Amino acid sequence: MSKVHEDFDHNSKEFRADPIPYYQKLREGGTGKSKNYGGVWFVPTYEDILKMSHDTESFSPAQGTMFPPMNTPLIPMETDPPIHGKYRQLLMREFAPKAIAEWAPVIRQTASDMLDEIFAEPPYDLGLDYAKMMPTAVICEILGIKFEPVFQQWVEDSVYSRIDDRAAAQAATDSIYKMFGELLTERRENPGKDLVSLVANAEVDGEPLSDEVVLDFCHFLLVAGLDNTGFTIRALLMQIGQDPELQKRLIENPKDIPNAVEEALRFFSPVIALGRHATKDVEFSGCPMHKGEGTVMLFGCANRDPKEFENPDEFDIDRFPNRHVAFGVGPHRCLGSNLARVEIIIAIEEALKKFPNYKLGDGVVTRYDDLGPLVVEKA
Amino acid sequence: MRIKLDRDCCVGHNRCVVLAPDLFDADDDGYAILKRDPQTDEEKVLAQRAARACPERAITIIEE
Repeated sequence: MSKVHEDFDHNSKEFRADPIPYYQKLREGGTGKSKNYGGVWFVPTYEDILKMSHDTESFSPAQGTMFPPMNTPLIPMETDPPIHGKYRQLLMREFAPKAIAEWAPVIRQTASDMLDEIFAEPPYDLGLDYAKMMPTAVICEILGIKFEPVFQQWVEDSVYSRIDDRAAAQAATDSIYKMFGELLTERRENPGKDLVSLVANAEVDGEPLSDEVVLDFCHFLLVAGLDNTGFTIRALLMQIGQDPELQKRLIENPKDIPNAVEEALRFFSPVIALGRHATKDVEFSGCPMHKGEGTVMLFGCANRDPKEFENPDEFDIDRFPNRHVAFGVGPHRCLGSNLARVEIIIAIEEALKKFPNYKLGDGVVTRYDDLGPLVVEKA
Repeated sequence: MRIKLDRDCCVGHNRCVVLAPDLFDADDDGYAILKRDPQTDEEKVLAQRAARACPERAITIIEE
């Protein structure tokens, strides 16, 4: 067992603040066991993450994908076949490229309005006022709920406070469930085209979903759509702001923006890790794993694996192929990826249209642990 | 040149559709469908790129 894994904790403040320096050593050690979280296995390489994600018989997300766990199950991600496919199918169509393309005008208008407001008076913060707000406003439209600033806090507490303040996480989770719970009757009697109505009225095998499952769905749709997308928007705006050549290229050739977005997804990996549990005793990548043991796939680490990516620490929008695992891989891969991509692409397009030659303000730093401010100046 | 698309492997990364929209499309659920095999040299290059870009390795190129 390698020492680097034994003490490793993917939630430590040092790792969250800047995970990159850890990655090479973790990959060199391969998959290995930590003493944290009851002895989880960390899976750092691209090859092993592909293997584990596809081996749904040996590795299940149903006992939780997060360490420490969330307060409630993340549906549909944290389920096994055959119910996983049935739950996922309820929303596949809504999140497919064709359906998402219909949201593009709403997303563009939202981005454009926010930018007009931001650039009305300094300081111009493209982090907290734009990257963070835009995906929240969009997911509220899609869910058919009125945007409230407190949602941000609920989601952050529900996801991040679970690491060191379980009570705050529970309170936030309760608030989210209560909000959606109060909508259920109305959305069943008077369904709209929104996703809460869709899930509230959905049937699986001819049976309506229980309230519990409907609320688990709604909670996850809100949580999954917020900070990961915003984080990537901020990270790419920052990358562009510190690289005038890249900025010029994307202004002159907006068709290169989707490639820049793919590279940002790889390079910054908004979801750093998600896990599984072994469903049986299994030998994986030379490691004797026991039934019930947890595993943590380090997507951010795999996305910089030199065995898959040449010069992985270089930000290169011409990289090909770019088979990153930022959305995961295999049957549990992110359901909302098409929405996230369109949001990030439009966010960058609109920012470069309204404010083409922006410069980063003083003291703007790369952040991996949260979605901070990104103050910019007009050129 | 023929394209073999393994629909059982596809989970909807949508990379092939973006790279070669004349050869691939996404169905209403977001999974890849093959529109047709490549005809021109340019399309053959695109087909090969689509195969290389697939994170699930669901696309195989059969040279004839």
